[in-house]
Amino acid sequence: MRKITKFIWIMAFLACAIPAVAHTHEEQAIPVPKSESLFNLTDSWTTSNGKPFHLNELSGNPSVIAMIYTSCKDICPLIVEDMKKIERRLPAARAGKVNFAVFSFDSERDTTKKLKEYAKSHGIDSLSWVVANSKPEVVRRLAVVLGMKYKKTKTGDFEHGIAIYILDEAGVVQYVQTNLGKNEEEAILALKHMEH
Amino acid sequence: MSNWVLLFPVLLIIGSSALAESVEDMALLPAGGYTPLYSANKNVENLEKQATYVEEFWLDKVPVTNRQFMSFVTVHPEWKKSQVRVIFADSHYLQQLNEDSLIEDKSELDSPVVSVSWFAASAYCEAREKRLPTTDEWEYALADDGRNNEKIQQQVLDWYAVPNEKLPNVGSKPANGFGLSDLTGVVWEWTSDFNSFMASSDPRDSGQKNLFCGGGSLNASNPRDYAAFMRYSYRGSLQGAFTGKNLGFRCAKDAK
Repeated sequence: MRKITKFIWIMAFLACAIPAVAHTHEEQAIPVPKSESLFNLTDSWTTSNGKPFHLNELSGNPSVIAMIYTSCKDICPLIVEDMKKIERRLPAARAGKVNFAVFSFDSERDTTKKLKEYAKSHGIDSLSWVVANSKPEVVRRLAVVLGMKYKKTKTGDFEHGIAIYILDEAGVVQYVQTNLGKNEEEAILALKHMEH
Repeated sequence: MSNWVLLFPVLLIIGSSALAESVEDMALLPAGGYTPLYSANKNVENLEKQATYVEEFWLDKVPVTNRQFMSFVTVHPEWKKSQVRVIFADSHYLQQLNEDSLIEDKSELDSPVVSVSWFAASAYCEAREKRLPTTDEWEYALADDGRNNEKIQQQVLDWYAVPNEKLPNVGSKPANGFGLSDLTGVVWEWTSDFNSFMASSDPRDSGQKNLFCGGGSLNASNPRDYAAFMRYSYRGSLQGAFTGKNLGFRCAKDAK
């Protein structure tokens, strides 16, 4: 009797397990991001190392991101400086466990080579950082999701908003820092809240 | 597999209608510019130096209809109202359609599709190998090369002044000089860079120092063009996921 019961259990297990495995596999192939996550944007970017990049590669760790362009001489370097300040203030245990990413407004002039030079000269050419460009429509889509306003002027420069976004590990914006040079406390706090 | 069998004829039909759309249902607009509300660059000799200069481009003659949008979501179900991500469309998305994204009132099939977000409108155009027009392209199309400017402004104001009734079929009004219908009087339309005008709630914070209300607005190129003020401020207030029951779109395409 016990043997039969056991047999039934095994059969039941097999019957359930097979479709369950197939199902899990499907889900792994296309992980569905949270509805309000930035990872819903599936566009392709190119990094300063010439590698393809997708936003969902930021998943798993919190991220600090911003939009800039490299020929911007006044504001953009300050944005990057503030991001570096946030990086420097991370506790040692979290070093390398927060992603930093900057996305270029300037699809035309910010070539991969130019982004690489920029990354080197600003000391952000490390594994924690992504510096990326893409097509104008992809840049626009990211900006619209972030609520970032910008306009390309006839000189090829950009008028743009100033913001550093803190995303949680699922790609949801948790904090936006809009004033430069003084207020990274809140950003640090937002990141601290995401520690496990 | 059975899904594919069902989908295949649908794809064929939609594929061929999309093709016909791009040739017959678009107007080719010559390169040019218009005098924008926010800067008086009237005396620029060289056309290409105008801040609002646009290259030659194609623009849909009429706004996209419910019928067209419904066939789009059939092929791209991620844009059905039951499946769309909240980051891409708010809770009023496609409110004129039922849960299966089909229209209840058949008389609205050829009315402009409204309650579409910027993301959905962009996706629709991209699926047809088109794009949304830029704000400059759209304003240039409306300005109609200076033809009947006063009349256009009056038409727009008359429209803004009356509450919206039932939306008419697209193309029921006479076309402008470029061959475009319904730029005003039916729905507001999305532009690809609606988020480019740097007007915050207080424009004095932004780059546009010439445009805040009161005496400052005299710096606008035509302070009487209230309608343009309304369009610019409306665009400035939008978010990409926003949907409105008077907000639709049409698609554009590069001429090259």
